[in-house]
Amino acid sequence: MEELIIKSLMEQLDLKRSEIKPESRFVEDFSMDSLDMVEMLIDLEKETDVKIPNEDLKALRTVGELVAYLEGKKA
Amino acid sequence: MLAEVELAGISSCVPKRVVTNKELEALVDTSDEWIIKRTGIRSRHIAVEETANSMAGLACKRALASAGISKEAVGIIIACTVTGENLTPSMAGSVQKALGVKTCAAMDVSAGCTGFIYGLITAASLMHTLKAEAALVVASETLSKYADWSDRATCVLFGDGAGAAVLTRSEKPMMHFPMLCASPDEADVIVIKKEERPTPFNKKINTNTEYLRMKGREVFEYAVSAMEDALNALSLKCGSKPFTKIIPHQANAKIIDYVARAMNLRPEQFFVNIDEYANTSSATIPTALADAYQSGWLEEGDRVALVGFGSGLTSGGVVIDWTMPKKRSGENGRTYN
Repeated sequence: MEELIIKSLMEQLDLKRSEIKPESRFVEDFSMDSLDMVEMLIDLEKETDVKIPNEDLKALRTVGELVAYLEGKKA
Repeated sequence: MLAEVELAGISSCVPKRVVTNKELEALVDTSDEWIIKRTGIRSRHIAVEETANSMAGLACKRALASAGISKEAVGIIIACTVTGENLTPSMAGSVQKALGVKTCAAMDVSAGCTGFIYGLITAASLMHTLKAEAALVVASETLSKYADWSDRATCVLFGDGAGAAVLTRSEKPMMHFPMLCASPDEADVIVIKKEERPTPFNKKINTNTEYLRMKGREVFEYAVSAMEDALNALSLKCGSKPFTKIIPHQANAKIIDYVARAMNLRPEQFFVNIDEYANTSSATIPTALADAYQSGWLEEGDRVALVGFGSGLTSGGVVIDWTMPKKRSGENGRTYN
């Protein structure tokens, strides 16, 4: 799951792999806005079939939190 | 069934008043940088003296001049709009009057931002049914009148304008693979409610001024899936003669960028002019077609896919073999005058 998220962020935001860590924050560290988040979620939804509702999205602030959330949904 | 037609004329008409992002900074808590980063929009044309109907009429006059045909040849007028001036008569009727066309079929089509594609396909189908020689398809909108200018999330997205196309009969079909689709908007993701009017029998109604309301995430998700589905379907239908250029509905540059990336298409295959006009709903595709032609981006022999999505939730696509020769210099203005 972590690999999927890293790949999506690298493609979408032109980030290097070394710049993406579990503690990286989407808004503060990657300057992602709500549309950037939606773009990433569409990519992830295609790969995982997990739909993240708006109310859950607000609590997912870091790469690690998103990994844990998606792994929990797939478990 | 579509008649065998070609797109023989194209034109646009946008209001004179240009409103920059910088000007919007005085209205709402926003910035030029914020708007460009999230949408790709730098300015929009906003109607002051112009109306949706008057722009439609002028765009049609220019489109007829572009096609080099007289108004007498027009057998069908289809106007696509969600912001027409009257409940009745139709915008198409107003265009007919402005052009001085004595007799033809004239009606409006309401399919949100997909309106122009619905209009093109309706016109080509009616040309077959009515055996008409030529049809005018115009899309004209004044969304500025329905934007909530205190809501920074939506007011920056929209502009006003019109675009018109002329379809004429051709020896070989030059419009292919019509696709029209609609799925119920269960979550009301794009809505402009009409104000209700009291009657002696029902006084408990909402007479508040109503504005365009949109749910950003849901619209984005619908937009990219509708565009990908339409392009994939058109691509399959084209088979060994693929389209090489794409004119998409211009709602947000990020939607177009996403689709290009997700489908491994080159960004230069998409014509994008949202930076100047913002989202003019059904008018974005014909306005983009006119600019693409007038700038030389579209050339005779090109196979171009038009794809759109919009409220409803509608979506659609069609492929056109471009037959118009290189534009003569000085032909067709864009601004209202």
